Amino acid sequence: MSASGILTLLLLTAISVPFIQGNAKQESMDRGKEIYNQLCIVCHQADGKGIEGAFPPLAASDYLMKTPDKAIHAVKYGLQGEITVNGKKYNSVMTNQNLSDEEVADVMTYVMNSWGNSHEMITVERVRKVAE
Amino acid sequence: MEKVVTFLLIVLGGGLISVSPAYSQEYSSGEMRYRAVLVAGDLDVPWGMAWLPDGSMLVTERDGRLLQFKGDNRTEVTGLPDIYSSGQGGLMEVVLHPDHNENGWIYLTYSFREGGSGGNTALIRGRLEGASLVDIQELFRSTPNARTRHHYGGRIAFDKENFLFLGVGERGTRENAQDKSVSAGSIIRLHDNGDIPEDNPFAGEEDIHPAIWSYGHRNPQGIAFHPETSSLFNTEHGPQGGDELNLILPGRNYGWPVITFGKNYDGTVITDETSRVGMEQPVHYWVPSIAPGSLMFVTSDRYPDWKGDALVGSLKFNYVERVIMQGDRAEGTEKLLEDIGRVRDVREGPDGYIYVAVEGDGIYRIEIIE
Repeated sequence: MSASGILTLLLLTAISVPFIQGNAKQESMDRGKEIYNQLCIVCHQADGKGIEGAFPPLAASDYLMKTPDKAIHAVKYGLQGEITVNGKKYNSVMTNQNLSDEEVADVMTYVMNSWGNSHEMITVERVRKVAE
Repeated sequence: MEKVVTFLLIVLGGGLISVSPAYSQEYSSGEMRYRAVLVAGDLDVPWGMAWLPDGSMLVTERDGRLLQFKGDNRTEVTGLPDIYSSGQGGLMEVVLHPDHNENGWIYLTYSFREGGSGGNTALIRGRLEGASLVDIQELFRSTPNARTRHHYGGRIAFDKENFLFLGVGERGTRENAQDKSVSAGSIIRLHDNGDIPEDNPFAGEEDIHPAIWSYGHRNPQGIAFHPETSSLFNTEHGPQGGDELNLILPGRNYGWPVITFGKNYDGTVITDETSRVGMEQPVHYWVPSIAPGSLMFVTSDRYPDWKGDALVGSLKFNYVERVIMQGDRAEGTEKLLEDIGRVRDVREGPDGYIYVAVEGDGIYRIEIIE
């Protein structure tokens, strides 16, 4: 292969990597949205704002966006006890939804990239590492 | 509402002191004061409860475990079929046959998955031998399969002639509720052995699922017979708003999604219609939704003020709704056990006590304070 051929290949690779990641992220979000609309929407609502005093917001949520591993833990294993989200206290039980690590990653990627939230894709590996 | 938390110190034999088993909380209802006493703790999603003749209690955990509590002992029953636990699905109902003392049958519902087509709700019965479920017979599988993770229905009630009634959800596909060729989104009626009765309202009709007793249901998660009128009632989850208590009559259409008092979760309209000729109106409905996960009627003499009333567990607002009944009519409501937690099931035990299953917590017995 000529030098220019190698250069072209490198260039193409460099350009396409973000697209491949973008696709993977979008596909993960699509799968996550499906799960969200079946299970999470009932409490956290279609706009991700939750219900004040009962169910914490996901949209612009410091708990979700600043401590994603805590949020992953909640989705993966359920959550109990008082938490503070955006300065307000919540004390509802979130039950374990028995989702696979892939499904947890998908729904986390969706909620962290919806309603104005923006974050890199949550990978299955990251979910797998969050231990009980 | 007055609420006092008390921790009782229990002195056990041999000089051991334990702080655990007796946790209780006090409430009042009119002049009556009552308490909730924790009888089984450390539970995740206790979906159903049943009491065996030996006094032990069976509890289903949605993640697929069937637990037996006898005194302080907790054992897991083995031998259950493959259960698909994801989202709202998993091991759900446990109910004894009305003649359990003679035949030993225990009925369970759970969600199953069949490869790529997804799954639905299954009904089985079996007998307990030691800590194993044996003689398992599959009696019913709701149709069609779906890959969604919600709206399984799953609760059972027997009538006085031992016919079995089971509510099955529409599995997230609204059209199923009005499609009588599938069982999803309906209440079905079976013989106790799973055979479909020949006198079911649509039996023998072409393109109609013969097990259907009533249809047009969304996600029916409560079913019970009124102790005095013998009428069948159900509760079901509406979407955003529009949870219902219905009087169930054979062959009738309960309207979902053609009529509803609810809206889509994003606030958009499902339908402008809340009533239509040929469709049944609820006896009572809830806006906003309380998320009714169970329904029972009080028959016990232990709670004279509540006798004949319906108790509906609220998953969403952490209490038990008492629907004050006058015959088959709802006359009003009262919030009981406020802030107890996500109420998954409420039932009367054979000892006449009301038991309440709370998610992420345990089973409470309701006692009147004299």
